Amino acid sequence: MNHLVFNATYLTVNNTSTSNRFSGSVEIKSELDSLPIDIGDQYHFLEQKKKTYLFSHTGVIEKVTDPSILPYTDSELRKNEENAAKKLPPVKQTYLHRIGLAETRPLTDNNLLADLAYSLKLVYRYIKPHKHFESQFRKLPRPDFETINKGMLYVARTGFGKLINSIPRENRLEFTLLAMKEWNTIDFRKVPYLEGLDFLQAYISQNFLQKGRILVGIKELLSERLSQVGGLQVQQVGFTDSDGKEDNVYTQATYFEELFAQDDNFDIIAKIKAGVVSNEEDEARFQKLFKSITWPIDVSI
Amino acid sequence: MSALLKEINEYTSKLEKASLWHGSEKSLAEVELEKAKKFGEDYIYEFYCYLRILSDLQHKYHLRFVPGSGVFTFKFPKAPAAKKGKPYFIALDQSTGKIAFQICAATEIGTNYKRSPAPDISFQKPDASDTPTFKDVLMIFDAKFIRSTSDKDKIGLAQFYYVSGMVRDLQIADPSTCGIEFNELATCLGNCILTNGDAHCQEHDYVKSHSLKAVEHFDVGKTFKVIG
Repeated sequence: MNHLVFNATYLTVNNTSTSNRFSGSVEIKSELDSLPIDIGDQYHFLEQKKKTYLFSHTGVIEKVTDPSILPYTDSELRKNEENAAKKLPPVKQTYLHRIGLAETRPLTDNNLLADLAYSLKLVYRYIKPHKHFESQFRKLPRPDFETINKGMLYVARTGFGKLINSIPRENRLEFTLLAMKEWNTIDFRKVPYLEGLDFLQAYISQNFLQKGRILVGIKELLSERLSQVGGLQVQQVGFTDSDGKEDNVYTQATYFEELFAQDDNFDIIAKIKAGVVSNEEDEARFQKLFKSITWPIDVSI
Repeated sequence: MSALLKEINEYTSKLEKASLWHGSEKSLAEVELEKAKKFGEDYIYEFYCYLRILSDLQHKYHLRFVPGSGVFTFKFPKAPAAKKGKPYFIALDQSTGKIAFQICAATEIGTNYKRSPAPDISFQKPDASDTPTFKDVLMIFDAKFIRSTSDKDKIGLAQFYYVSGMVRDLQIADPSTCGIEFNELATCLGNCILTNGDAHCQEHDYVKSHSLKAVEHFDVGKTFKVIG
């Protein structure tokens, strides 16, 4: 039995129920006359709502009909004429596959792709996980299907991954180098996430939070002590370098104030650790599943 | 789990925004695999020291901002640069209104040799030009940022020698006689190494023998201590 993801953006759904737009059937266009989709296969629908991708519905395939051949479009006909003149073969014909859906039900709990990304084995583009689904359908490893079905979360990996991938790319690379030195390996599969989290906590504290506190200190000096200095516009004060781009201290300090207002002591690390403990059973399942997969540090450009 | 997930998402989206400069889109913690990072160069900390000194001077002087030109009108360079076209401050005597001295950030200063040291903060004579020389310098402060949360970290001997060497290259006379008056920072009158961490050593006489003062724990929300 296959486990599939249908990307609602790329295929047509012929819904038979007004209350459930993922009932009825889907149409898949392909140059292949046969698709690896069978009766009894299970599927999830991935939908895009603005910039958010979510798994919205799940169900079972109840019918697979023989495909029909679509007539050439006008542009394909023109292309065929060009090809004929050059003695090239005509363009391939497109098959239309109609797949009947059954037992469709909505997925509601923890169904956002961005949140599930670190709990899915097939994902390695953590910052843009939708890149893995840019087709009408794709197969899913069975455990990934279950993870989405139940909205399960690998808390340790998600916490670690979301934190490391929120800092600039050059710092993700530097962190990786430092971790290689710390554990004397390029293979982090065996390093527990909780140890990685401690190391990441130190890195973020030393490189960003410490500087953030100084920036907030600068903003306070500017606004409380130096705002009356003749000729000085404190909100304009900042840095620039040879490329001529300007950075205002005030603006950046405000970002840190927002960060510190939510969490002044980087308590999120302790909360993630507590979350791991309370999620014991699922964490153990994920540890086994991800035994051969390394830390989710996204260095793609 | 959903409450935790929400918190992680909120925190990481704020961290993502804060960790990258909003204008230049450069990392706040630019990665340099050279010596610079080890040696505690950090323009954010240096600028904090600069502003904290300016704040203190306000008790005894009127301050005036001298804007730079173009993009440098209100923006300071991240690295040492020529004084021309860069912003700085002047301190005016409160009773006479005359310029008492200039306070410049990371300005390159000419010497008799092919060497232009650029202390993080230089106090220059009232008539110092856009191309100052060692003869214009009254006193210097240099800031050393320690990138650590551990109290054990202190500035290195090389950093200490570096600042000592600058004082020597600039042939600065005893700053205690230059007439500059601080308020809360009164004990810092002299050529200073400022650090957020620990000073290189606690031996007053040794630091003094280099015509320096070492100011440790000079940081937001901390009480500083002067050695030397």
